[in-house]
Amino acid sequence: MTDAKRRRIGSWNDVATRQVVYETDLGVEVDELDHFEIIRRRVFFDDVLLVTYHKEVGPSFVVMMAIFTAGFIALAFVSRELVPLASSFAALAALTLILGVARLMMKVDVITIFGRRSKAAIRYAYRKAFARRIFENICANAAAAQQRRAEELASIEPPAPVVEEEPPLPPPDDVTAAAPPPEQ
Amino acid sequence: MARPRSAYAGPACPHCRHVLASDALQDGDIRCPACLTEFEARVFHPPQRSARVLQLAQSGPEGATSCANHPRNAAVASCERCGLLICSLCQLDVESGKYCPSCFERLAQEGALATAKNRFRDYGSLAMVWSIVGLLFSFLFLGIPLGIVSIYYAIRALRSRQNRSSLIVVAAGIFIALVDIGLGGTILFSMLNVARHFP
Repeated sequence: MTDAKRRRIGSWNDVATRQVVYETDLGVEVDELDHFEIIRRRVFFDDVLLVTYHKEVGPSFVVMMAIFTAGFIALAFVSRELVPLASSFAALAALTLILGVARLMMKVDVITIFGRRSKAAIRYAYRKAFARRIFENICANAAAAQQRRAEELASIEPPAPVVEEEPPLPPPDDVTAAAPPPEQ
Repeated sequence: MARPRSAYAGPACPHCRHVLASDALQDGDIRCPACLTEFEARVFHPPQRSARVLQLAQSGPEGATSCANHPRNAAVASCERCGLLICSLCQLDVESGKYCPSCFERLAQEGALATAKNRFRDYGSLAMVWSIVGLLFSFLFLGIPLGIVSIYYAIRALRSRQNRSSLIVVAAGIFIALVDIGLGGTILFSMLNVARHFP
């Protein structure tokens, strides 16, 4: 699984985690970077139960950008006597404002892959067409892997034992005929 | 240290993590009953292997040996590590070997099975960090030893396949480490020169 044929399909950084997602021939690997250690989770294509695609805003990013914007505006206001400094702060405020508004408008595309035992999520803030292509690709790979697995299992597993059918019971009329006549 | 994770409970809403019932899953757009978020879904039905275990009673009187863990089941293999006779329920095929569950668990814990390994040292980041520390403290003659250390980590990162993605980080680490060594050597050389001229 962990071999040279890994293809990086996405990464995501937030305050708490840094994640890199790779696609391999057998599934999807999520590398979570935890200080100097990489913790790897895998979702195999032949284990996939559900793949979802949705958009979300990510409120923490927007809130952070709003705080930064407010902070830079305040700094620009405080340092308004020094024009170069104030304009630098104003430019930074504009930048963070643009980033926040862009996030609100574009949202983040999230692909979530649910397996039998694990799940993986891939987030794309800007590459929308690429995200859609990856979603279709993962679905196609999962379908193909499960088809292959079903064929393998069909060839490996012995056929179910044939249960011999029991002889049919006689019809109810015959039963009454076979019964002794009631005593009179 | 890794954050504690809640136990995985199967397919759920990707937004609020509300567990979805299997009959609620369908291809197309789904609305989560808990948070009302709409998402596109593709449902799969992975094939499951139906375990047909050979019972001791079915296998015939000659040559039938029972599994060490399941006395009613016939053994079909022996563990390659401990030699325990195992039935098809216990048999774990890993990396072209057959292992019993306890040996598999132990080998996985020891990191002997590459496919079962899920924790790796990030040598690329280590190389980068140590090279920067060496640069910051090069005036204390730490540039040379820390540069050497970071080059060692960079080589480890290049050798380990799982770190291929951080090639830029590794290259930057090597570059800064070489700067460390150069700077440290220059400082050391100039100090020695000064010491030679002023005994």
